[in-house]
Amino acid sequence: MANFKQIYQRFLNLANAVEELSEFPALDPVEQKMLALLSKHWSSKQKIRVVESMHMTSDISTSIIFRYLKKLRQKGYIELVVDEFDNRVKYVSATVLTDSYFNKMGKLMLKASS
Amino acid sequence: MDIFFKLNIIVFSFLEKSQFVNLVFMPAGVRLVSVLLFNALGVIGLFVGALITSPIVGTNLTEALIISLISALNPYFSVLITKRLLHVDNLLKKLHAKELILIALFSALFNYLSHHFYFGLSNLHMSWESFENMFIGDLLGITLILFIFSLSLKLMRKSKLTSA
Repeated sequence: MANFKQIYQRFLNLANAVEELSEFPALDPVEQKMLALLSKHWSSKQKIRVVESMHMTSDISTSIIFRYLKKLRQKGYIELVVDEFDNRVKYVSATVLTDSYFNKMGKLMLKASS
Repeated sequence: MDIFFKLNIIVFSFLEKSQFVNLVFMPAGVRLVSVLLFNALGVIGLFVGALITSPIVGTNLTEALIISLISALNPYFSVLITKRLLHVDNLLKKLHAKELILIALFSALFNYLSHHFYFGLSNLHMSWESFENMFIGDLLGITLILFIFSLSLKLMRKSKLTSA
């Protein structure tokens, strides 16, 4: 007898893996919010340190921010750049994927408003 | 399965290299997805599907049975081996894009090797080039099916949003 619950769970996990293969790895709402907060600094050409990024909002706790930074890094949306003078300092930097993600979102907003 | 087999013949007939080989073979992707979702249960469906779609001309019943069995068991064993090697659990919780790509690659390679082994064993003539084409065909077929899968998920979400 087939276990339909297990089949459905496998389907959901397979769907997630397939979606990871697409152009942009899927972002959950917290990750989207984090990217939006980080983009404030990136757009004003400010360098943001990992420690600073952990305190960029009071809505999310520092430990959760740190966990999400790791997730965003794994998905290729951010990279950590070591300071050229002090190895202990690391900056959160946008990647090419982030730029194309923001570009695509901008285009979609334009399309939606037209 | 039958639908994809017929669709493959219609759409990619110009890429057909021989009776058993096509440069884009969509059923390979269907087999992989079936086994990933239904495990051993999928093998039964795949075996019946492969038997129904066996070429009538040029093969006898024994050959058709063996080739169908190989086609059904191949994805099962390749998925089983890669899942164990990559530590992917039964519910696919640890399946990510990287693991999926590796499973697809291994599945195509496993199919290529087992067919080569069987054809060699039964003295059926098939060139090395045909086996290479089989590997490429399986890989492209799997990629295409995964792309269709991803596209249908997006369309499903879109239709849900518009109907809400």
